[in-house]
This record gives sequence, C-alpha cells and structure tokens, in this order.
Amino acid sequence: MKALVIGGGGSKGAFAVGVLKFIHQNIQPIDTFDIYSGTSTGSLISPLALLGEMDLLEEIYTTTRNEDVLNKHSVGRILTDISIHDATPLLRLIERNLTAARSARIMASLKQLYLSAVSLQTQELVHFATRDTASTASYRIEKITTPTELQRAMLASSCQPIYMQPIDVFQRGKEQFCDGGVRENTPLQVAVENGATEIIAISMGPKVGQSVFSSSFLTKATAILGFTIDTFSTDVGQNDYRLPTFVAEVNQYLATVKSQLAANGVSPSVIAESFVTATNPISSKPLLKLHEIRPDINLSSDEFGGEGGLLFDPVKMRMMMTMGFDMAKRHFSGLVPAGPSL
Amino acid sequence: MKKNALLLLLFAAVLRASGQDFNEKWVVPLEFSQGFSKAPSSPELYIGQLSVSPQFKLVDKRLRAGITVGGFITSGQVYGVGGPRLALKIAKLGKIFTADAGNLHLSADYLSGTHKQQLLGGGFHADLAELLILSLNYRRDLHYRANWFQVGIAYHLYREKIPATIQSNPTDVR
Repeated sequence: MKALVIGGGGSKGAFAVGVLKFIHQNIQPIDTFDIYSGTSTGSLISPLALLGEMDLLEEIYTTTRNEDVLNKHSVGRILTDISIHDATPLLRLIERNLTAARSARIMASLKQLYLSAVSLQTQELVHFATRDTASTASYRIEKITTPTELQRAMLASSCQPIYMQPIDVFQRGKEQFCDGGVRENTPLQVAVENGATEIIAISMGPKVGQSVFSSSFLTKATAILGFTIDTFSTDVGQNDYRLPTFVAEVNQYLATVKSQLAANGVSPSVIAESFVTATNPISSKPLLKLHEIRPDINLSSDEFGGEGGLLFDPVKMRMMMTMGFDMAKRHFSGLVPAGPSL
Repeated sequence: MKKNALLLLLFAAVLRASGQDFNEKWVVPLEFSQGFSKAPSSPELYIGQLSVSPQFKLVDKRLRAGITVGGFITSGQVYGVGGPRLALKIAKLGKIFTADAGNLHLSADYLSGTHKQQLLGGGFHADLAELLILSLNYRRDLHYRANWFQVGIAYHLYREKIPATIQSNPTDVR
C-alpha cells in the first residue's frame, strides 16, 4: 500500500503542490495512492490529490491571496477575541473548491483519507477519516460522513491556534479542534499504523541544521517568543519522522535477515513462524520505504511564505511550487538521497 | 508644487498602508479629549470633550465614514456637538508575529455645536492594536474664529468581533 502524507505550512503548501506535480507527471498519477494523510495545508491538498485534481491544486496554490484565506486583524485581538485573525474566508475557499460533487466522490472512494487536528478539550491528536478505522493509544479517529463535515475538518486541520479560531467540526457545541500541526506536523503515524508499505512524505520545514531562525542577536521578548514557538514546532516536525524511519529500517533489516536465512537453507515456514509472533512490535507495520521530501532552505521568511505560512502571495507561491518540483526531481532522480537510509 | 508633492507622498503612504485592520464594517470609538480653545483677544479656555464616532467602512483597509456626536464643557458650560467625519488610514504600525501592531490614520470632521459653534478640522490618530486610540486634534471654529487644540484617548466601544464559530455556507448540500 502506498501512502501520500503532506505536512502543514500554510502558503508553503505551494512547495508540496510542486512536488505533487512532478510525481503526477513522472512517477505516478496522484490519485493512485491507497492512503492520503494531511495536516493543515496538507489537509487542504490531500482530498484534491485523492481526486487527481492536479490542475485545480496548481491554480489554488498560485492564485490565492491573503484576503482569500483570512480577514486579518491587529495583535490586540488576542486580548478581546477568540483569535487574532478570522478564517471565515478559508472555509468559503474550501466550499468553492470542494464542491458537493467532489465531496461525494471522496466520501464514496475506497481510498483512506485522514485529516489531522487537535482537540482543544482533550488535547488528543484526532484524525478525521472517511473510512472506518480504529483509534489507537496515540490518536483518536473521528469518522466524517457528510460533505460539510469534510469541509469543516479541512478547515479545523488548518486553523493555527491563536491566529485562527478553533472549529466545531460536527457543530454539536461539544468539541473544538485546531491545527493538527500542534501535535504532529507531518501525519505519518496513521499511515504507518494502517498498513502503508511505502510513503511519500512532504514536509515544508527544512531538515535539522538547515533551519536558521535568526542570524542576529535577539533583543526583544517577542522575537524570543517567536524563536520558542518556532523551535517547538520544528521539533514536532522532526519527531514525526523518527518512529516511521525506525520502523522502515527495522523492516528492511528483518527482510535482509530472512533472505539470508533462506539462502542458508532455513525453510520458509520456520522463518515465517520465527518472525510472526504476538510479541513482534512491528508486525502490523509493514513500512519498508519512506521518501522524505523537504525544501533545503527555510520557507518561513517573508521572502517566501512568511511566519506560519500566513503570507499568501501568488508570485512567491509560484516560486515555492517551482522549488517543490525541482526538489522532487532531484529526490527521485537520486541526486538527493531519501531522508532515511533506505 | 510643495502641496502636490505632499499629496503625492500621502497618497503613496496610503497605498502602502493596507495592512490588516481598518476592515471592520462598523467601529464605534468612544473618545475623551481635552485641550483649549483660543480666540483673538480672548484668554485660552479649557475644553473637555466626550464623543462617540460610529463609522462604517467605505473603502476596505483605507477609508471610513461616519458621524461624531458628543458634548464638551468649557467655561463651566456644557454644549452638544455633532457632525460628519471621515477617517483615512495612512500607515500601518510594525508587526508582532504575523499581526499588525496597529495603524496611523487621519480624520476630518465638520461639527456643529449647540451654541452656534462651527468646527472644521481633523486629527492625527494612532490606533494601538485595535485597543486604544491616541489622538491629536485641531479644529477651527468658523463662527467664533477660535482655534481648538485637543489631545484625546479613545476606546473601541464597539467593533465587529471575530466570530467564535464559523458557520458553513447554508446553501451547501449535506
């Protein structure tokens, strides 16, 4: 089973769309994955990728402007309102593009779609899913059954706390949800747990060592708070890959051991019995290959997507899309080795 | 020539000043200001003024129009005052994270008093994070030929709240 996992990053999602464009044209059509998992901007991209709407994705991520996403306000709103900005335009953008017909096709699809968010009431990582899936100790699954719930789940997954208001996805007045990136920026785990053997993961943050928050001394508390938030979110983004990378490495190691045993005359049934036991912690996680595709520079500067990816400028988004296309080309042509040593 | 250059500079500043506020449909600042008026051959007179200025958005992130209604006290007498008002955003203040810290705007008004006052003038205002507005106002009383100078502080008595719940489009097929 192949999975497409797309992380968060606001307007930096243009980078992910560039990656998808290369994949669609050169690797495989983007609607041929078995599992789609997204957070934040990845939640906006994933449903349309599932439908193979490459042209629409390219159009959205090269024409959207600030006012199409947020009614922006001043920082004082933090003292008087539920958030600084208002994300109502984003829901309208989703509603215009994820039409009833498209939503119906997603709901009827046999492919697995997961959109991640965090519950403000329970602090749980929640994946909104279109298919029946079991919850685990690490996350809760909430099944969505209507186009409106799908649209609202996409919105909830995108609403960065404090900047945008939390969303009552089911409109029951019981639970609010915010951006899944608070707990898992690139939602790999749900794909691993649900049987993915190969994952193409797209993250919008640079790798460790490539992220430079500031080259000058920080002299203001707000700048240091910004540094703190950026460090937390960078850490979340890096942690997302640790377990899936380890699982893939262990599975590859076990595959090598099995083939060596077979080469030395051990019967296949003995090998199978030896490795399939109740105590095998990764028996239900067959992941073998993880492609990690990221930009090699920090896209959070005002030159690109701005802090939190909240700067929607078509010119800059086109640049990021081109960067994504080129990065995917380098990755798949072997010029840049895949993240984990697979 | 200088006047044209000044207007050009102001226009350029306004174009750059779109920023993130001045986009509410309605705002109602409540302003307390005090200062003095000076007429020829008269002593300076203290003026304390309380007014509300409901304004609606005329041009998004640029221009508001509305009225000012209030009262002022001077020489131990209380008078009413009211009239039309325009407010033009000319600059945004710096950013804190992704949000503007506020804006600078100019106002122009023509206020009629209950004792024949005819005040024409305006003010320079610093809206700090959509919380407080600090003002510097000058008006000319055309009837009594007096100059009014006031400094003020205003609080947004009303402005649109950010909706706590975003409603789905009711035309959506469920």
